[in-house]
Amino acid sequence: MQLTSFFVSIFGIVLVLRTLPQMNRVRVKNFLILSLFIEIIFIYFSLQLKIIWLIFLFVLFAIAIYQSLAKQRQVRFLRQSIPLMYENLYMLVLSGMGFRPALQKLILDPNLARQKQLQKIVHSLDWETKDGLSDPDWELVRTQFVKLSARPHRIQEEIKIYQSDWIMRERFRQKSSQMLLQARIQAGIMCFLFLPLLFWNLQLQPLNISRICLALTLFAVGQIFLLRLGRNIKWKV
Amino acid sequence: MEGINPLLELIWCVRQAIEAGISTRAALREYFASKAFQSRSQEKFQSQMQDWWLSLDKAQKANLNISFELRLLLDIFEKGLKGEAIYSVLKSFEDEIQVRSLQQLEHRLVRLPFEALIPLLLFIFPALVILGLGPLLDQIRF
Repeated sequence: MQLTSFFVSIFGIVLVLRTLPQMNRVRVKNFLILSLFIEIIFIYFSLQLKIIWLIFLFVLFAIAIYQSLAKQRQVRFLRQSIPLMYENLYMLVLSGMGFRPALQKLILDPNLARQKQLQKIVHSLDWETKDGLSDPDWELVRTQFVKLSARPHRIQEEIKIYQSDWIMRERFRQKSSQMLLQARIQAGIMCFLFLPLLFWNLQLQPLNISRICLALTLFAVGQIFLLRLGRNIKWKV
Repeated sequence: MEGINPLLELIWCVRQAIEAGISTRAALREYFASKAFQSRSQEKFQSQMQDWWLSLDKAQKANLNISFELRLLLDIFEKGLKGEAIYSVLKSFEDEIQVRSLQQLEHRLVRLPFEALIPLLLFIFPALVILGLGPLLDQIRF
């Protein structure tokens, strides 16, 4: 039993390492330590294999959710920092630097994620490639930088124009994300109410499958409608 | 780009290009090649713009089914394509569209809680009632 549990945990660790290659190594390490700790406790108490699997799946699920949330946060942070980056670029150009030297100075950003993104842009400008920029916003920044390097006259005015456009973009995004947030909060609260009721129904004897299926279908349709409400904006203008 | 009116994207792109000293035709070509235009979420807008662009070369104008604002903007662009100066008109039009788009977003934000009541009352609330009251009703049944 203990040997089987041990193999299960080893298999789980390998799975985590294989599925999350892009995740921050420190965070993966923390999660691995946590999952190993849980595994050791279960092996020590010689609990059922089924429970170990459940715990492991829970840990994997938690890691996946955490990873997606962290990625979303990172993307949002990078987007929000574009106007600030333009402001810094404007200051550097204002101090008498050319566009390329200013860009090289800009790479020395204290934020690692932004620094990495800027390095990719500078690399793509140097080698005239479009590799590595998956986010459409940073792709747009790259094309704006290409235009700036191609048209060095009036560079200060152009940087200011781009910056003000990014500020306006961010204002629109904030408004539309407010809608999404409202819908998500409502959907979350409904899940919070629904899940205990569902578990309670699953434990009842005799199990009424048709009732559970009907409730699940209704709930899923409602959630889809709710989340779509926050997402869809049909521009009348 | 999520949450941004495609009309504004178009105006920004053309205005930026004009500010950089590029002609309206080249600016529009730049926009058609951009990722903002090619995004999948704007298929209707894409087809409208493509129809308009193709109809430019024809002697008779195509009968485009487009919004009033887009019609106005395309008229401005047509003037620009003929060589007229459109920068100041475009700038004031952009301000107007920005204000209207923000108003629409705010209006939607106000209406959202009421619209959210529909799926809540039609689907989610019945699901909660079925799960919450169903077993209790089973117990009461004679």
